[in-house]
Formats: sequence, C-alpha cells, structure tokens
Amino acid sequence: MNNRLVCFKTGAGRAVENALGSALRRTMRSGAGSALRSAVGSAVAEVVVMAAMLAFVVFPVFSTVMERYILLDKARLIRDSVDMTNISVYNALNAERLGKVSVDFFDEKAGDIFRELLCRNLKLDGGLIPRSDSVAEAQVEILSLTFYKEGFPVVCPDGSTIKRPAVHSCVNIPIRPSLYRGVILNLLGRDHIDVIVHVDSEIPVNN
Amino acid sequence: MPARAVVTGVILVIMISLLVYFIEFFLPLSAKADLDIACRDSLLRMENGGGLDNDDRSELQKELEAAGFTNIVINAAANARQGELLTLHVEGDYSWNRLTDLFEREDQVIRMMYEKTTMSRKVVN
Repeated sequence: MNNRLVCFKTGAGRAVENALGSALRRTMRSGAGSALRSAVGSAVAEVVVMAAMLAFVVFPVFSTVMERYILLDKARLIRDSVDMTNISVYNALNAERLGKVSVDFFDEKAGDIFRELLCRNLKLDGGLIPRSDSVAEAQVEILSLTFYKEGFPVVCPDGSTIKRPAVHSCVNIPIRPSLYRGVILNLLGRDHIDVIVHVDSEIPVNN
Repeated sequence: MPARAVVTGVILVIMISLLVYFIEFFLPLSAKADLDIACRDSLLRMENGGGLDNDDRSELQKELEAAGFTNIVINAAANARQGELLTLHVEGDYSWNRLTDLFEREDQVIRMMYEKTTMSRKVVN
C-alpha cells in the first residue's frame, strides 16, 4: 500500500499512474485507505506542530531567558564597578577627624574621586558619555551620591538602613538589549533601557 | 506506523540538538562571570595591599586556568603608593566545544577581557 502511494505521489510515470490509479482509488475509498490517510496526516500534523512549537515557544522562551541573563550580567558588571568606585572614596577621609574618633570626608574630593573612578570603570569620558567599549549606551546619570558619617542608623534615599560610615550612590546607566534589539525597543517605545543601580558601600575606616 | 516513528524520531533529534545548541550559548557567558568574579577578588586584595604581589598573581592565574582560560595575560602594578590609581587588566582565551550543525561539533575560541581601576587604600589609623 505504501509503495503504491509513494510511486503515485512521486509521479513515476503516466503508465504506472493509469494502471494503479483505479486500484488506488478503490483502496482509498476502503478502510485501509482511510488508515493510510490518517497515518500520513498525523505525521504531517506532527511536523506542523513541531514547527509551530519552535517558532512560537522554543525560540521566544530561549530569547527571553538569554536576554534576561545578559541583562542581569550587565547589571552585575555595573554594580561591581559602582561598588569599587564607592570604596575608593575612602581616600577622601579626613585623617585629622579620624584621630578624634570621628569620621568625616572631604566632600569635594570624595565627589571628584567617585566621578573619576566611575568614568574609568564604566569607560566614560569626563561628561559621563560612554566610549565605544563601554557597557553604557547613552549618557550616564548620577542620581544620588551621599556620604554617611554619623547619626547611625540612617536610611538611605532608596530605603536601605546604614549602620556604619558608608557611601550611598545611585546611578542610571542606559543600556540596549542584545537580542532582537529593534523589536524590544520598538515595543517599549524607547531608545534604551534605563538600569538604575543603587549601591551602598561601607567605608573601611579601621584598616 | 513506521512513517510516524521516523517522523517522531527526526523531530526528537532536531529538538534535542536545538536544546543542546541553546544551552551551549550560556557557557561563554558563565565563563565571563567566572573571570569577573576572580578578577574582582584580586582587585579588592590589590586595593588593600597596594598592588598585586606574586602570590596573588599566581593564585589568580590558577583560578582562571581552572575555569578553562588559556593564554592568560595579567597586567597590574605590584606596588602603588597609597592614594594612587591601581588598574587590573586581565585577558584570556576561553575555548569550548560547541554544536555547530546537527551532528557536528567544533572548537570555538573567544578572547575575554577584564579591566577595572581602584585606588590604593590610604592607612589613616
């Protein structure tokens, strides 16, 4: 039965087609024919279902997971950079005040150190504009930078409780998706995604 | 039905290959995360110690080799005055065997880099 069908379907010749045609038609009308149609039909259906699963389930799920993983990885990279930058503010501690068991920063120097290290670690120029090898895609914005020296415990603007001398910083870094960039940004109606990174780093005042 | 079994088999093979292909995309990302974590630890030690000494350098080298990196290049100051900038620059090749076709695997090599700067810690008390 299968041989007849294959021969018929591949067009093995008009003579064969004529000879087998009537027999095949008779067979197709019978119960065996219907079983064959059903078997071929279910195989085709399986292929169609697989293609649909690939197009509408597997690829979108994989893309979403991958995109999320890459975004989280970028956020981790940025958080590490900002944390490292915060800790460097240690060098703006006022040593004289430390001698009097009090913690104080030279605020201007601390701000300068923070900005310089942020530019170096995120590969930005002096105006916080990203260079070509930066993780950022547009101008980085320092949303808040606060040095906590006394009056503990205090609550930072983002709600974390700080119990020791620390630097609080909140930075907005615009990034772009890696996969399907155009589609995602069009859906969001934006040029980039804003990743707001908030890091509170304790300052090691006792070395 | 033999036809159906064949179709199901082919579909299974394609699906499994795709799954393996997708999962292998995460291997270099995971290796980059390992590189970043190892280098960050070293940079914190550099900040505290005022540079990367030979012990820390060889420890970092071993960690990266264990993570699958080869041709590792580590550049960092061994001694920096307190308050000076300290930059750790690390590069390495990560190679992994990857499915490139339905029944074909190939070795792939990617060069990864880490570069971060901190400030040598000033001892004030």
